[in-house]
Amino acid sequence: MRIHRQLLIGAAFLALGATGAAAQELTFRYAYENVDEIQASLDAFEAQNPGISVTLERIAFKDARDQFIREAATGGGPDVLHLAFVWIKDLGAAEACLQLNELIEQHGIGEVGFEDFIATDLVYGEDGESIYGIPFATDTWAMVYNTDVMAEASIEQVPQTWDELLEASRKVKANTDKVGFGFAAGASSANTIWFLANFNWWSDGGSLVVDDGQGGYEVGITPEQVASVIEYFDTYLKEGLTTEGSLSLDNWAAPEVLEPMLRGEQFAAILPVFTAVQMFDDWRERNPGQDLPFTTAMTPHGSGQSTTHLGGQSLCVNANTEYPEEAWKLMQWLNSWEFFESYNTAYYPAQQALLAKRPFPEEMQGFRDQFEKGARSWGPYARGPAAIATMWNQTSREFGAAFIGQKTPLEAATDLLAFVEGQL
Amino acid sequence: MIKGERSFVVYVLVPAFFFLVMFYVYPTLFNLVNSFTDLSLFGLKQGGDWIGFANYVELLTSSDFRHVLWNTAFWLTFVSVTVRILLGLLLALLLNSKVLVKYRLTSVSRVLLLVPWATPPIVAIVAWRWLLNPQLGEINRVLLWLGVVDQPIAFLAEAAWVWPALITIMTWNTLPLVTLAFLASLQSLPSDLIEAAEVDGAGKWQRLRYVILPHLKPAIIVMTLMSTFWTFNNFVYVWLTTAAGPGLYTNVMATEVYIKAFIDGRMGYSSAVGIAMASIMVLFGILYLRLIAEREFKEVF
Repeated sequence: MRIHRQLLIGAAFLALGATGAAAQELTFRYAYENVDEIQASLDAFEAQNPGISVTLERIAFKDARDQFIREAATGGGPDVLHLAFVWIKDLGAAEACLQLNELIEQHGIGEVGFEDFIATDLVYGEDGESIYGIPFATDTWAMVYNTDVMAEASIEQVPQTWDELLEASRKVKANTDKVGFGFAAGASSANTIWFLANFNWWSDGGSLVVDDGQGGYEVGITPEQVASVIEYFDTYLKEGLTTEGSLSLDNWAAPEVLEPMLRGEQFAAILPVFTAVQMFDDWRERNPGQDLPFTTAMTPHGSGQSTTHLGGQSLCVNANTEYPEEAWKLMQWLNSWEFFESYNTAYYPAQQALLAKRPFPEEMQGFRDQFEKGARSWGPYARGPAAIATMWNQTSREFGAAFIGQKTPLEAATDLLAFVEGQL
Repeated sequence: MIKGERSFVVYVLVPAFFFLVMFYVYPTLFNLVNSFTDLSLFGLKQGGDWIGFANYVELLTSSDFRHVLWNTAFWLTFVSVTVRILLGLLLALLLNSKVLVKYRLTSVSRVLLLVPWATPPIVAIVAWRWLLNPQLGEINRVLLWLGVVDQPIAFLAEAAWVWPALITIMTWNTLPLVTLAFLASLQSLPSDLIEAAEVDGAGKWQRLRYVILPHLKPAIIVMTLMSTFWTFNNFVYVWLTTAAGPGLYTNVMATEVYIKAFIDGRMGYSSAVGIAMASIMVLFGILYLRLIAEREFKEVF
């Protein structure tokens, strides 16, 4: 009997010991498509950290912010999240993301340290001191041209200005009956119009949001300037120079935009770095051993210089996590050189030291130039009180309303600026 | 009803009332309170400040909201319910006709009718989006091949086509239920009534007008009201098909609630839209009670 009792007590201790040694279970929610690579990296992380197990959750990028904010408000959500640069400030204000200052101070982050990360102004909270996220991967946009279509349409050099791009698109249509400049003009949250509009305004010296010089923010563009940009892109739609059904496309990487580029049926597209890398990889897979028929270049400009945004993805730790220390270890892994070198190979790390280790290949020259000479931070857009995502959506909707004739370009422009002014 | 039975009915209803209060009345009241605040999506933990009727004033004076109301009442509800009821009626008459019996097609056609109904809305929407795609869609391919059009039509991007396309998708997916309801009602029509009308010299049109339609009237009223309820509230079809676009051309009340709450982050204003939407549904509810439930209630008690 005594032996039995001892055995039972021993078994109970073993069970308790086993519970104590159980892995801390983290959940990482990732929003892009390269899930297999990320899963492989998490397996490597688990092997290096025996006490931690990580479950990978997948979400559509456009839903990532809203889903998390709903979960965080009720005390739920995954431990570590993959988000856009521009969402962090709002999520910090919502107390959804954990304040990271202490963890950064105690354990450090990245190859060199937090100061080495780019676009850190986007991860600070409203007080300008609290850090709510870590920039993860960086990107900007540039133009990708199909050189076969260029040759067929007798276009000798890539367009330098927006007007030249329009003229070149007309020439492509006239000479080849192919698509000129393909873009997604749909009104939902992942379309291209927000970027195209801003790149156009910036390269002409305007900006939707500027500092007012008194610590506040104001609209830095006139309704007429906005209307002229609406008319400019409307020309592509009206003259059939862009993707068929562009207004129903709500993703810059829609197959309707990328496939014609791959098949040599479209002259130009404007893409973020990682989409261009994936598109080139797809082409190489389909055409092994052949020369890539693409060239990249900086985005066109107006009266000023070519300007795009320095954007990208961030990581945040859920303020509700039970395992902040373990979550931080995962954050450190996801910002290590080993992770970018071996797993997240399609993306460029948001750290100067790591960027220096990853040179741009020849076909990405346009992106390198854009990063070096023509990429700006969202600056006052991010610092101001209006959420970028909200302005993004309103811009898309007003442009859409004008494109389908529901409003005149000037009405849409006036409504957009009134909305943004109200937000500021 | 005797007193004991009445008490029994009350006891039986208590659990249902409990869940109704917990999951309907309480959230509705919570939403009502929110509609008087400036609650933001980014301030859920902090809560919103009381702003009185400001959200309702904005809603009632907004031209955008009038557009949303029109879309919801006319396109989404009136047109789509009318199309569904008329097509449902026609299909039910066809399925009940002797022609199908003659060619032994009754079973096949009834099974085929169920296919759209068995298809989940998301699957139906994705399939239709592909079918309607201007570059890759089969519908455009067929139209081009037939020479009906010389350029593909962007059904979900052009203002002239987007509502008809949306209504087509909704109708395809939901028509079977309406048809089956009418078919069931048709099959309960005593054959001697039709025969008597024939003997009296009634032609096909007269039999339809004076015998069949009066018999179907209760089913038509029920299905019209129920379809109106389902459709007016519907979010899935519009959001997944057009995301309320192009621009905000197909924005309806359900998508407006979502856009204001989760894209613009204005939970307070979104709650006001939700309350407006619920108020309209209450009117439909009263109509339903007057026309249907009151009669059923009297029959039971």
